[in-house]
Formats: sequence, C-alpha cells, structure tokens
Amino acid sequence: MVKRILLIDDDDGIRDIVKITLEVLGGWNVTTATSGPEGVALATHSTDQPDAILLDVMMPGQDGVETFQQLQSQPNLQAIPVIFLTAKARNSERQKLIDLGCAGTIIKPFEVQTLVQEICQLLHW
Amino acid sequence: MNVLENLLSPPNYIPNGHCYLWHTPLVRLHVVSDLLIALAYYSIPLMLIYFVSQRNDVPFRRIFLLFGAFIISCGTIHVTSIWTLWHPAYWLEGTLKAITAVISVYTALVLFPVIPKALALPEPEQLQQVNQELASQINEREQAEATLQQQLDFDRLISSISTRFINLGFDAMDAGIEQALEEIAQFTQVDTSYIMRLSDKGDCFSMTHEWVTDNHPLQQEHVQQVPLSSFPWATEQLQAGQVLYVPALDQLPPEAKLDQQNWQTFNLASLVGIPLIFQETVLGWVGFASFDRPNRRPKQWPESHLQLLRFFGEILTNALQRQMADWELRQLNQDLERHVAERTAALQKSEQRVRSLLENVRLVVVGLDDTGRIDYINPWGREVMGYEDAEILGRNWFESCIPRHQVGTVKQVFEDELAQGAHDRAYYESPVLTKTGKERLIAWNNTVMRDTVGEPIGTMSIGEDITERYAIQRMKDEFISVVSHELRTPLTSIHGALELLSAGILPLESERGQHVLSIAAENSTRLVRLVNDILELERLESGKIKLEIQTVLTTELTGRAQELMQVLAERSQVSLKISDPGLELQVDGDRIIQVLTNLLDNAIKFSEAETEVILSVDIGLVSIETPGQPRQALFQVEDQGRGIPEHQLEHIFERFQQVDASDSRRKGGTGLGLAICRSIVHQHGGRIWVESHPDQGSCFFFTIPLKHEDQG
Repeated sequence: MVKRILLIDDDDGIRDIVKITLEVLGGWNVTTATSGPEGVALATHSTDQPDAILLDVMMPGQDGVETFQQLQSQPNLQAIPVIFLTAKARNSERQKLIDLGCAGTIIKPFEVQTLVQEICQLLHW
Repeated sequence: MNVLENLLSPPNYIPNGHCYLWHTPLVRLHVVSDLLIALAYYSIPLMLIYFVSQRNDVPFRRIFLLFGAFIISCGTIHVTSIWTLWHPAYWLEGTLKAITAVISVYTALVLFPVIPKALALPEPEQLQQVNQELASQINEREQAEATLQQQLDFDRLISSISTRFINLGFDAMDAGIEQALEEIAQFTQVDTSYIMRLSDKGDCFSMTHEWVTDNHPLQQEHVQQVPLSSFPWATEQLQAGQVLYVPALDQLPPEAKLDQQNWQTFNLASLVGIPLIFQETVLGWVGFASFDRPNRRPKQWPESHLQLLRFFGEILTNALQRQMADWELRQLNQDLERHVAERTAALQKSEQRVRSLLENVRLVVVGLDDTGRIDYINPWGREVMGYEDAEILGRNWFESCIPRHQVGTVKQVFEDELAQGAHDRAYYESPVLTKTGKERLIAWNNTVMRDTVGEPIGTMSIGEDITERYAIQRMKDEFISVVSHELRTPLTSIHGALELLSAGILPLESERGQHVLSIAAENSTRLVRLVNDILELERLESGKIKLEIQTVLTTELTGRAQELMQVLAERSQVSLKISDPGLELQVDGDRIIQVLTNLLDNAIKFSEAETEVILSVDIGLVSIETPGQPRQALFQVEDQGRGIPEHQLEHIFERFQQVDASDSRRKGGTGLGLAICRSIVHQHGGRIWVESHPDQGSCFFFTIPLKHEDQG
C-alpha cells in the first residue's frame, strides 16, 4: 500500500524538494498545501486521508502549531501522525513541539537521502 | 509694861553708880571702857563669821561659831554693866551672865577634845611643801592632759581625713591629698609635707604632691626622676617598710652621709618618711620635714603620732591606688568611648553607605517581617511598584503585591526560608503586582533576617526588575529564531536540490532535475541577499557604515530611483510617476536612493497591474510638537496595492515583520528591507512611517531635514 503524505509548507522550494524526494525515494504519494488552513481543508475533505502529515512550523498567518491544534481538534484527523518540519534547532524549541503530541520533528535543512528513512523511523513504519 | 519696867529698872535696888558715888570720872571710865569692850566683842564675832563663811576649808567651824556666841554674850554683859550704872537691872544682868556661863562652859567642853586635832594640823611650811608638790602634780597632769588632747585632736584629724578620703572623687583627689598634707603639717608644726612616688622600674622617685609653709618655694618641679641611689640610707629603710625618722639631720649615723648631704641641699633639718606600701610593694612615701633655722631644736615625734602617720600612709596608699584604679578605669572608659565613637562613626558611615546604596540603587529592596508585612521598601522599589512610601508600609506583601496566581508559590518560598533557616539565600524570578495592577518580573535574592539570638524575624529581598530585559531577551530569542528560520529555509532547498542532483537521484537533464536546479539557484540568490541585508543592517545600526554626505538635488535621487525601478514597473505593468520640485539636500545620495528603490520595489511588487505608483517630494510642514525643528523634505511613495492590516502598521519597519513572509519571499523580499530603510532615514535625522488601509493602497513617508538656505 502506497503511503499517502500531506506536506504543508509555505516555501515553494522546500515543498517541491520534499515532494520529489518522498515520491522518488519512498515511492509515496505526496499531496502539498501552502498554508495551514489549506492543509486542514485537504486533510478534512480528502477521500483518502493521509497516513502522515509533514507540517512546517513557521508559516505566515496560521502557523504550524495552530494548524496542528486544529488537526488534533478534529476527531477524524487526530489519529493522523504529524511530523513537524522546523528550522528551530534548539532542543527547548523541539521539546515544546514534542510536548504538543506530535510524532516527531525533522530539522531543516535535512538530508534528502535519509529523509524517508527518518520518517519511517519516527512513524515506526 | 510693869514686867518690862521691873526687868529693866526695878525700883527696889540701888543703881550701880551709887557704888562709884556718882563720881563722874569714875562712872565715865566704866562707861567708856564697857562701851569699847562691847563694841570690840560685837565686832570680833562678825569678822569670825565672815571668815568662816568665806573659807569653806576652815577646820573646826563649830568652835569658831561657839567662840562668836561666847564673845557676843560677853559684849552684851558689858553693855548691861553700862545700863546698871543708872538702872539696877541686876536680874537681867545676872541672867545674861548665866547664859554667857552656859555658852562658855559648853565652848570649853567642846574645845577640849578638839585640841589634839588642832595640834595635829600641819604647820605652814609643811603646807607650803604640800602645796608645791600639789602644784607640780597639777602641772604634770595638765601636760598629760594637753598631750592627750593633742593626741586626741590628731586622732580626730586623721579620722576626718580618712572619712573625707572615702568620698573623694577622682577629680578632687589631688586637692584632697594636698589639703591633708597641709592639715597634718600644720598640726604637727612642720614646714613642708610631700608625697614621693617610685617609678615603675623602681630606680627613681618623683614628687607628686607638696605643701610648704608660707614664703618657702615649692620644690615639686625640681624633685622629678631623682635616682634612689642619691639617698641610699633612707631608701634601705623605706624599702624595708620602716618609718624613716630623722629628728635632727646633724645627728645621723655616718652611713647616712650621702643622704644627709642631699637633704641639706633642700635646707632640711629634720624629717619623717612614712612608706606607702601596697600588697607588700613600696610605692613611695609621704614625708614631713622642717627647714633648718637658727636655734632649731630637734623635732621629736611621739610614737603615737608616728603610728597615726602610718595609718595616714595606709589611707593615702589606698587613696592613691584608688586614684590609679580610677585613672586606669577612666583610661579604659576613654578607650572604650573612643572605640565606641569609632565604631559608631564606622557604623554611621556604613549605615550611611548602606542607606545611600538602598536609596539610590536601581534594585527593588523589600523588608518583610515574619508575618509578611512590609516594613521597608526602598525608593526604587516604590517607583517600580508605583506606591508612595506611607501607603505601602505595613501592608501584607503577598496580598497587595503578588499576582493572585503566584501568591501560593511565593508565600511557600517565604515560609520555607523562615522555617528551614538553613537556606538563608534563595534566588528566583517572580512577578509583582504594581499599584495599577500591571505585572513586572523581578529576579529576587532573599536573605533571612535574624534577631540577636538567631531567630528569624523576617526577610530582606533584593530584586532586579527584569521585565524589559526579559522582554528584550525574548525578542532576541525570537529574532534569532526568525533569522535561523530565514537562513535555514533557502538553505534547505539548496541543500536538498543539490543533494538530489549530486547523488544522482534526479538526472540533471531531466525536467525535475532542471526544476530542482532552478530552486537551488533561486534560493542561493535569496540567501546571498538575505546575508547581505543582515550584514548591512547590522553595520548600519552599529554605525560601521559612514554616510558620505554630499549636497544633492532631490531630482537626482528620484531620477536615479526611477531609472532603477523602471524595468520592474514595466514588467509589472505598473505606472511609475515622479513629482519632485527639486530640493537641495545634504545626504548620502546612494543611501537615499537605496531607500527609494526599496520602497518603490515593495510598492510595485504588491501593486496590481494597470495601477500607479507615485513617488513625490515636497517640503514638509513644521511639526506643531517641535516648532524649533528645521523644515523637512517629505518623500512619499504611494501605491494602490492591497494595503497593510492596521495591527501590522506599527511593526512593519521591524525585522522580518513582513505582512506575508511567504508571499514576500516569493517576491524576493528578505524581510529586512524596511528595517534598512528606517535605519538609513534615522541616520539622516529623518523619520519614516506608513499610512495604509487594506485594499486601498499604502503610502510610505520619510523626511530628510532641508539645507539651511532652503528653510525659508
């Protein structure tokens, strides 16, 4: 079964690089959203719910944390594991994200060759 | 009457004159003789009675009185003899004779046994001798009495001195000693009295007190530090605790020759020295001496006087010791007072220093008693809390000054400190509530205050108001976080793209390969721009970039900016219009052009096609608030774009405060352009701001002070 990934990031470059990487190296099906509301809407209304969501933290308007809380507030979405993609490298900052209940964090910039492996490890795939 | 007449002149007898035949001479002879005898007989008893009455010591007084009675009665018989010459009162005469006979016989009888006693009376010579012996005895007795009296007086004098010395204070001691020396010297009739004190080493002596009789010079100043070796004989006796007794200087033994010579230099003839001994140590002596005068006899001192002088010596020793003790006590007191004064001064200085520190330090200092009531707060503390001194003192700290959500925690810290005691100091951060209800964050350092027995009586807390620092730190953290994000974001794309290509995951020639290469190139440009902007802003704000001020016309600036932005404007189908009257400015032209292009770049990028962007220059109005300020050149960049939400107007010139960061990034913005503009304008002494309404466009303004000649 091909894994379905929802990627929410406001940066065009990152979005494209991650999508290509996961599709090429993981063989996964990647859907992208440029903002939090768009991502929530996609997850909510999609017929096929994603198996995991990769969520950027710092986004204009509704940031990653708010988006995560929205996802968690919806019973049908709260089971979807969320991995934060963050440029915040400090341990304290990462810990705050983990404390929210996410599945893990991946620090930008990441290694594309091991990105799939890293996600699998975090999601126990 | 007849009886009396018969008694004095009975008719039946013949007067005695008849016996003389009334022969006148004979009668006269009898009359005169009897009369004279009678007078004599009456006189003698009177003299005897007078004698006896005047001399109580006359022996046999009764015999004398009987003699008197006998002679009077005999005299009376002679009177009656004269009477019987003419009147024959022979019964009367006979009766008188009978009475006389009785008296005389009785007298004779009484006299008889008295004779041996009378004979036993001493003879006058014996009496004289006895009298002389008696006089001698009386004299001796009087002398003894005088001596005793003198002894008693001396005793009283010494007693009164002794009594006086008991109550003598330190200051009156010297005068009291000198008065005693004078009184004893005058009483004992010597010419001088003095006190010699041995030195601490005991090798010499000095005169400390002195009295001399009238007209004699005082010697005290000459008798200082005299070696004991000058008086070897006297020293030996005094050191042995003996009284030095010299009745006459010329009668001294040969071994006292040196002493004698030295005493003679003081013209002394006799002297007595009483050693002053305290706890078996000779401290000195008190001396009484007489000067040498012609015909002076040796001065003898009764043993009793010497005894009393010894007693006086003891009194004096006690007094001197007491004076010494008092002196030492005074010295100690003075030392103590000096120490106290020094300590007080030091404490005052220290207290002043602490007070000055407390009054001026920009730290909150709060003293609480053990119930948590405020008993001290320093001026800075009051300022931070917004209270007057009087209104906050006495209040409960936890109820009045701690936010409700923190009361439990802070009170627990306070109670733990008081109870445990072991942790006298505690550092923690906690907010306080100001009078207006705002919270300020304070970094506290607590000290438990203790009473003299170590029991905790409250706390003294020193706190630093870290509200602003905390906010700045938070902003700094946020900024670093943002910078980190802004740098990592393009880096992630570059890194990922290049890795996909270099690892051969995507062939370079493939469409995807070309796409990720363009992503890498775009993000590299973005990263370079970002790094440049960050560095430039840092250099501008730290003053490392020096403005190259030149006189330029605004038309040169706006013209150059238009040239630079024209291509972008055309590409965006935005009409760029310039309105510039041509003002002369003194500015760094390149920097002002940088501001203008930045503002125009933003305006064009966020404008829809077929809209206008207008750059205009004008002379700014003088501000009402700052009437003394020079007039300004006012630049305006106006667009018809989507505008800026009101809540973001305030922060738009701060770093990374784009309205829409991702949108801005897509349009090549770094989030630092407006921050750089603001810094450049501020460095020219100008001001920059924006007015905007969403969907109605924005207008950015900045001012630059005009040159002086353009002020009019």
